[in-house]
Amino acid sequence: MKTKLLLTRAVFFSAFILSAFLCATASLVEAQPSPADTIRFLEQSTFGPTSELVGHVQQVGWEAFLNEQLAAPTADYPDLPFWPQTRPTSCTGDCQRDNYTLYQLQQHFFANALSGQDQLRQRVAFALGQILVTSAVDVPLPSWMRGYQQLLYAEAFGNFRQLLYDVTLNPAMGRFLNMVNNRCQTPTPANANVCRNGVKSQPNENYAREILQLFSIGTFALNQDGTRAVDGSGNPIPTYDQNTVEQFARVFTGWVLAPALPGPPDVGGTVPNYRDPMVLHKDSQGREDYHDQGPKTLLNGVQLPGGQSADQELSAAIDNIADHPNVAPFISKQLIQHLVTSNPSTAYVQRIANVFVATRTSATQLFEVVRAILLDDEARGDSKDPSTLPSYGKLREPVQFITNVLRAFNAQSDGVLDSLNVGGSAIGSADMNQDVFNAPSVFSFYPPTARVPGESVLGPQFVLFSSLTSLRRDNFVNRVIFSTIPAAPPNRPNGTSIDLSAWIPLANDPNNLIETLNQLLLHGTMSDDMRQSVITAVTSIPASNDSNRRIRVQTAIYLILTSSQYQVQR
Amino acid sequence: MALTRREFLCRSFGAIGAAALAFERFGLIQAFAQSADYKALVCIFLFGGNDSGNVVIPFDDYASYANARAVSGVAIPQSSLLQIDVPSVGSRFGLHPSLTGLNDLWGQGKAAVVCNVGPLVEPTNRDSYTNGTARVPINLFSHSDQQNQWQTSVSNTASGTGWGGRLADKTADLNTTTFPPITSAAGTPIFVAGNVEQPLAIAPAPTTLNTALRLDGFPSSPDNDPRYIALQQLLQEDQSLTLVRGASRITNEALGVQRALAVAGDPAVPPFPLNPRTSLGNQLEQVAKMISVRTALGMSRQIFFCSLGGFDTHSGQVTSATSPTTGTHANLLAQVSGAMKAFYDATVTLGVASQVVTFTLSDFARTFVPNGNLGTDHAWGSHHFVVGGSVRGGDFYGVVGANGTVFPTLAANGPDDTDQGSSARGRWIPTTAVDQYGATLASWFGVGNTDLAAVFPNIGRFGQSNLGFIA
Repeated sequence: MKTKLLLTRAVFFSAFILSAFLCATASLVEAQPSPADTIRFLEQSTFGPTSELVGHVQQVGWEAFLNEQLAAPTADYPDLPFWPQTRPTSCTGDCQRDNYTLYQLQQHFFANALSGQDQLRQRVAFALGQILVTSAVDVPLPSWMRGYQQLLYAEAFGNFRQLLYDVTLNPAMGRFLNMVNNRCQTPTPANANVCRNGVKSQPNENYAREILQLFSIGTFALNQDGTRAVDGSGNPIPTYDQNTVEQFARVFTGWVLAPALPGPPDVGGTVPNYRDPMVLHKDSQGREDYHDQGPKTLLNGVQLPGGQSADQELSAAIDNIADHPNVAPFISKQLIQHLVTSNPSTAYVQRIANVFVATRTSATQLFEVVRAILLDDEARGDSKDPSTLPSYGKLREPVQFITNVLRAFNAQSDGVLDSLNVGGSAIGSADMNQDVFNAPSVFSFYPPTARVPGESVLGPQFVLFSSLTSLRRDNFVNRVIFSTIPAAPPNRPNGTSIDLSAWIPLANDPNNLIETLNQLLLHGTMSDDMRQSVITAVTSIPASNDSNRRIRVQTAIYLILTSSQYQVQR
Repeated sequence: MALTRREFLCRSFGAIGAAALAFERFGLIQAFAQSADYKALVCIFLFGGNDSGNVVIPFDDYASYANARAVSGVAIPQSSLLQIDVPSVGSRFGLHPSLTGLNDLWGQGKAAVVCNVGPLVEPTNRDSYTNGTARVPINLFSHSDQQNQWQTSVSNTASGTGWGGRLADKTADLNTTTFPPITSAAGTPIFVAGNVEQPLAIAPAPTTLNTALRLDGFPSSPDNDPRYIALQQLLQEDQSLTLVRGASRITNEALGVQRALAVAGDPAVPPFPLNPRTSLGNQLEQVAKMISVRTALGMSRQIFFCSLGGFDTHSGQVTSATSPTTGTHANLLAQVSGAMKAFYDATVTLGVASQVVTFTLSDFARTFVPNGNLGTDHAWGSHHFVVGGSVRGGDFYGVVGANGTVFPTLAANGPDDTDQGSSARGRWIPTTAVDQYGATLASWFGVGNTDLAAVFPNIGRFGQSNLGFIA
């Protein structure tokens, strides 16, 4: 009741401020962001605006809020014990659920997203996790995945080169893309070049290819504004070829898991070490016998002389990649797409890429980049004009859709929202094709180049939006607005529910009800057509008693949340 | 000019422009239902790049295979192979021992293999590849690019549509309804995107067909429900916003199809002969159910898409060097074989076995020379199964290569390899283009030569547009 009235009051109060100071200077507006722009800002920078956050950000302004977010304590995943790769038959029930499925990680992911204070860090970590991808499809134990997700939390505001290095040696990534145990088959090289000339097998190309294609530079040379560079004949210029991949594959040889850890108390023995970074394999004489010792040629013709330690070569290779001019536009554009809009202007990409380059030695490079993304003119403003920017915005991906809905209405939730079947209806994030930490492959849930079906513009998240998942979104809204996700112990201890009682008094005045929802959910962009459609449906219900007034409120909320106008964050 | 049923429905629908018509649009179907002339194509995409080098293995010439693969531990033992005779090559081959179902269909003459297929810009051989005179597909050996090229049949530029979708564009008029001609039980990849036709995505079994799309919270006849009316109206509004328009188009179709499927019911037949259930089996079971209600839906031509992931076997594709017939790849192949066999048997029960053709696609094959992790890396040309009552089964098909057969020469640094020198890994240059593989299927489906060039824009660059694997 209290928060709702606060929001309503804030809306009207801020509207008053705005009209009173219509000609206010830019700096004054910055000091007191408008409610609409504040809500837009929080859609882009958090897992969804709450009335509390809207009020807070309006009070302190964007800069102060961003700095608060930088300093906020980092959310955490439960410190899961390390179990053997093969489940002991004694581990069943909760033991199996907690140690051999993603249950704990996914529940905490949603709980953190719904109520954690470090919203921006979490949101950026989630975006980075879709660019530098690991997945439970090949990292099946949650204790193995946890370290990787903690790394993304820890370095979401960090330095990109450092992130790339740490990701490379992370054991979950090592397993996912096969850098762990990458070596020649002959364990002790007869000569220094055995890996290159070995007849039995060749170094594993998996990590080498994907770190280049997906984590850093992409397949074609880019201009700093994100467009493709072309050669004299107008053709795109490949950034690397198969030979480059093979060269990096040889650099990435020699690494294995750190020494095994003790198993859980009641199991004993040892278990694989997915806690610590990978280490170099050495033979009894201390030689790095799994590492290819030969010379290598990296990107842009950079040579490694050979005979160096694998660690030296790894640092040099990560530098070589991080120094590539593609990194700034390649990563900047994707971060913009994850946070703000699927179709940023080239100038926007260029501005962010410039920040990426200018801060490349900063320990908080990614924070500076994200800050620039969020405060850019192309991100800010009360609304974006459909006539000049018809393709602005992004489809809310399932995780964002679910958390945005729940946060907007201050839902109570246990965080069990990933895979959900309630009353025979599949309505969780996984059911909408976004199974957290379990993307189908290293290509994540959708490529940044995917288009809106039937249109010529980019809409990466549309890969997850089909006739099937579209209706599942509607069914999720139906469930949480007209009913609840009931508790179902042990795996759904409390369920998820929304208390709409504070909204019921507004039902007597449908115009006011819908306008308040318009501000909260669409930051005031509801068209007259849309308003009329919703009002017609709402007023068809008599406001004769509380029960009907509740249905009015539910009807209005359902229609707005299921609308494409809401599915697309603009 | 007489309007086809389809054009009439489209135009009326568009002119009135109300989603409220969606139900009537499908409700009319029954009266026009007639589908003696029925054909369906079922695509199964094996995501990740199937190591087809371990799917079809020379039996008589086993040594050439074992030389490269045995030492690194990923070779399938000769004694475990399911032996097949291949008349067109004139020697014996062996199928991976997990492929018992497909081996059965091979024996029945209902399964064929198309060899060394892959994305090509133009006919390419080792010479023209090595000296750079051949134009080759963009970003060879990359998952995303080769997946797109397999699905679009366009390899030298990005395409916004897939050949399944374009095929649906050209054949949808044969249906007596505007029910979507292309249906996916595995999301909406580019294969199913047409210029006109937009794909329908449904839930796989065991979800019943009548709830394969499901909208909660409304009465079964919601046309007078003010909230349902508003829900539909909102989908027509704010059309100047591109992303909103794109989303509304999808949801609008979903609402209409949801009603049509609910009315069609959940057919009791066929019992899908697969136990235990598998991911691919569940998708194919739902496809079988949709085929079983083809008459009620007014369908004469249908295209389906299913998929299975996990084929990116860079490591541990076999359990161990001493147990090479078990492990990740063996399990995947067993699932593919079991599901394809069960699906074929279901089409027999439904009496449409000769009207349905099922075929596989995959990113690429994998390096003939493995890596050091009991795995294999990205390569190019691969072998594929085609199954159906009309398939000329029990043989290999494709374009004959340098060795005089459709099967590549298994030699790293050999006549079919992209790679040179002592570290060559055996990435076969395809002799058969995806375009030719798809065009053969499309021709059987009923696409004439003119439309064939619209579905496969580069087909003219390749000699044969029909590889002859379907009668």
